[in-house]
Order: sequence, then structure tokens, then C-alpha cells
Amino acid sequence: MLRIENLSLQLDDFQLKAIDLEIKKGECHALLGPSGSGKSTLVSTILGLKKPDSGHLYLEERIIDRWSVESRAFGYLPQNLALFPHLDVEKNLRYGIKARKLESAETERHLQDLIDTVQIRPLLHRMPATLSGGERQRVALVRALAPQPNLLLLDEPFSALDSHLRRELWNLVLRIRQEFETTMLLITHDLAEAFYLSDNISILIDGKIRQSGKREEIFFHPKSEKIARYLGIRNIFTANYIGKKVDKFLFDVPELAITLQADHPPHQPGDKQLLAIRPESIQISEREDDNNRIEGEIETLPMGSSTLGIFTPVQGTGTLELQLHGYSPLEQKKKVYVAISSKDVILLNE
Amino acid sequence: MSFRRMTIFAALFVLLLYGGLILSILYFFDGKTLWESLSSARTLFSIRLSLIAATFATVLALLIALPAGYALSRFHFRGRQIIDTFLEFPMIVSPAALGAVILIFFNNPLGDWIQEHLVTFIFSFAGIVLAQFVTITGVTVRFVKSAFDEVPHELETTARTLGATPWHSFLTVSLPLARRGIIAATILSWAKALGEFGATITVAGTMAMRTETLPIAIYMHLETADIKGTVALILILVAIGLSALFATRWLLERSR
Repeated sequence: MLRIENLSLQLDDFQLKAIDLEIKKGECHALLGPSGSGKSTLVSTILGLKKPDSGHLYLEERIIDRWSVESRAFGYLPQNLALFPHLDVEKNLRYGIKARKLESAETERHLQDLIDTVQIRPLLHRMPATLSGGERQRVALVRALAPQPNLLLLDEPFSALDSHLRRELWNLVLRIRQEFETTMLLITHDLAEAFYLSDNISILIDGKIRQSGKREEIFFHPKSEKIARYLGIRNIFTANYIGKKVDKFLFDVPELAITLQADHPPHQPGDKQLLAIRPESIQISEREDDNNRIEGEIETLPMGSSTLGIFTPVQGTGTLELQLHGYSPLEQKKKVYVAISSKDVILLNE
Repeated sequence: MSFRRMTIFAALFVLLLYGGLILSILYFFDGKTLWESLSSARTLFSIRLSLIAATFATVLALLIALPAGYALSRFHFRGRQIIDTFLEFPMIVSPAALGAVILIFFNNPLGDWIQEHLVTFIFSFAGIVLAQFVTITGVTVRFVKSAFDEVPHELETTARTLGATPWHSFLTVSLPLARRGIIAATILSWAKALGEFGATITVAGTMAMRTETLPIAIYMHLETADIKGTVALILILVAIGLSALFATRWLLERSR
């Protein structure tokens, strides 16, 4: 559908560097990155508001670098939604259809289906200023989808909403994807949003795509320390590779005073290796023969619906952050064993 | 004195200043003279000439100000800062100097050629329109630019992504949303053109029944020490100008 190849753009104080990105038809692809990472600049380039210095954008294999914004036919849902304040909801919804001269029975049917799916029929004659936050989101979503765009760019549209409403709209987006098979590019800095809504994720940091892949791959196998830290993994340790035992690779982790078994070999044998462990991958161990078993004590910190625990090993100077489900906060400082499956030991590149 | 009271006093001072000055001329008010002025062919000509010239000048200024104000509001281009600074040019040079600059231009070979082959500006209706146009265009562009500044860029971007061409987006989004500012710019520019004196008299002269606008007529009456006639004409000019300004407020309130 949309392919970006080796795209670079130099602005006064920022640079997009050799961006490669592919969004397949029907998928929801999340462009995830912290503030100032270049997401807005990349969006402007995709929309056609900025021209790349080098590289190309392809839409269905046609180069579109010099196409105008309107001829790209990308739907756009910006953070502030940009509903036209001087037009009522219905006129807002029909703006794209009229501008593209798409008036037909089929377009009308599509619009009516969208209105019903998103449940905004009672709002049609209201002015945007009279709508609530959630209603405005729904109207803007339908308006962007009404002219049947090639691709819908969702530019952090839910970031200003409270968590309850945000979850409701995520589900709505999922339903729309299912019903209308819309190809979406979700631009966000919200990890939960990206992992909830998308099939594939690209991580943009400092103007460069650092990793791109299926969401599970990104979640469980971040490539570098930078990405791991961005994904919220704090369990990152320097280890020394000490050799192979049967089908496992052994790493000495001085901070935890343990030799960890991993499924993957070191990136550079002989050198120090950075290891990461997701908090979700650390389990309370009941069996003595569990892999990578460490003795220590847990201090729990209630964090919303789940509980974050800080595990301090009996030996070693480091700590491990772990996610506990149903672990009672009352059992503070109790001696426990935790275990880490060898497949969950992540080897980082940098 | 509290802060609130002090600021309100300052606002009341403005009313006292202008209202007081207008009231002070009523000392020389003579109803008969006003009626005579209003029914004199020369005054009626001056009123008509002032209204028509100010309207022409305002329309011409708007034709330039709408695209220019939009460009200054939206685009970054070479020379933008210089143009922005030049908008205040008519305000920093005195109106008489501005008129002199126009006169000198028409004594240059290019100006001479324009006068000979296209339009005669010196001592003519076209000269009045030109003097008013030159005086108000900068400020009209400034007002229109401010009006477009108030329209968020995102709305235009979104219109473009929905399929609108730049023209369509301008006509259906930017212009309607900037309309209140543009109405204000139009009426204020028109009022400024209506009261323009210095540049007009320098370029168009003081020919009765030809180039005598209302401000020039006021000057002519004052020169002959006809105070009552001067007061009558001032009141007519004030009535037209204030009506225009109140109409602006009314239109803006209505379009809210």
C-alpha cells in the first residue's frame, strides 16, 4: 500500500534519517516514538506538506513524492481533530465527499454505515462547539473515513482523553478496522495504545526508525538498549558470555550474582553482552528445577490493576522489576524464588 | 486607587478626549448652516466623492490584502520580514510626505509614461483613489493577516486531506472563519480612506466639484475662516465615520 524508501529530510533543527517503512493494505501500523522523535515531521512528509530531500514514497508502487496533499487521498485525524467550527456535524462529514466529488449511492451507503457504526446519528445537526470530547472524536473519525481514503493517519488523536474514554475509542477503531478494512497508520507515543491497536510497529527515535516488525516481536525482542528502555524495560544488565551448555548459552550477570541461561548466542562472542528481561517474564518460582532461579525478597508497589514488584536478590547489587498478578501486597519482604525462562532472556545489540 | 478603577479611568479618559473634542465644536454649531451645507450641491458632491473614492480604494486594497495577508500569515518565503515591516510604511511617513512621494513618482519617466498612456492621476479622481489606496493598503494587509492568523493551520491541512484544493480550502474554510476579521478590516480601512487628507490634497489638489473630498472641504472652509461651515462638515464626516464603525460592531456581533 504505502512504502517509504530511504527517505531523508533536513529541517533547521531536525533531521529524518533514511526512513524505511512499509504499511500493508488492511493493516494498522503504529509509528511509536517519544516526543521530539520526528513523528510529526514524518506525518507531514507522508501527507505531502513537506517534500523529502531524498528517498521516495510509493503508493501502490507509484512514486508520490511530488503529489499534492489532496491527490494522495490520505485520511487524517489530527490530535486536535480539526472539526470545521462553522459547519454542523453533517456538513463536516460530507466535506470530503463534496470536495472529492464522490457523491454516489455507494458513497452515501458507506457514510450512512459509518454514522450507524459510530453511533453519531443524533449529532448530525449539532455544531462542533456543542459536542463532548468523545463525540468530537467520533465525528472526526467518520469525517476522515467518509471519502474512503487510501490510508487513515491517526495522529495521536486519543492522547488528550481520559483512560476510560480512550479505551472505548480504541475498541471503536478496532471495530471500524474489522468492518471497513481500513488501512491505518497510528502515530503515538503511548505504548499501550500502539500494542492494543496495531499489527505492526515501527519505533522512531531521534529521526530514525530503530526497529520495525510485528507487535509481538517488538514487545518480546527489542533490538537495542535504547528501544528496550523506551519500551519501559528497566531490567537491563551487562553480562559476560561464558560458553554453551547443551542448547543453552550461559551469561554471567554480576549484578544479580547468577549465571543466566539464554536461548540465543551472544551477538559478539567474547565481548560483554547487554541482556534485558521484561517484568512480565519473571515468575514466582515454586519448583527447584526452574530455569534461571534466583532467591531474594519482593517489595510490592500497587500500580492500578496490576502490581509492580521490586525483587532484590540475596546476593548481587542489582534489582529486578517484575509484574505480579494476584500477589498480595501484604506479603512484603517475604523470601521468595523467581525464575526466568531462557527464551525470555533478551539479547540487545547496543 | 485600585488597579481596576485606574484602568477604567484610563478607558473613560479616551471617551472624554474624543467625545469632548466633538462636543466642543458644538459651541459653533448652527443648524441653519448644517442644513445649508447638506443641501448644497458642492457639499453633496464632496460627500458622494468621498464615499465613492473610499469604496474604490478599499475594494482595491482588499483585492491585494486578501491574498497578501494570507501569504504573510501562512507561508515562509524570502522577503516576508521586509514586506511585514513595509506594512507600517504609510504610518511612519506623514500623509503629506506619502502624497509627495506619489507626486515625485509621477514625475519620474515611468510615472510620466503611466500618466500619458494609462491613467491621469495628478489632480483627478484616480489620484484621490490612489492616495487613499496607498495610505490604507498596508494597514488593510495587517488586519487581514491577523484575521487569517486566527484560523488554525490544522483546519486547512485537514480540508486538503479531505480532497480540497488550496483554493477550495481557502474559500470554504479559511475565508469563512476569518470573515469577522475581514469585515472589521474592510470597514476600518474604509473609514481611514474616508478621512484621508494629507496624501489626497498633495496628489489631487483642492478643486471644488472635482477633487474636493469631505476632509479637503473642511480644510477649505477653515482656510476661509468659515467656522460654522467647518463645524457642519466635520459633523457630517463624524456621522458617516461613526455610523461605519457602529455598523462594524453590529455586523461582528451578528456574525458571532
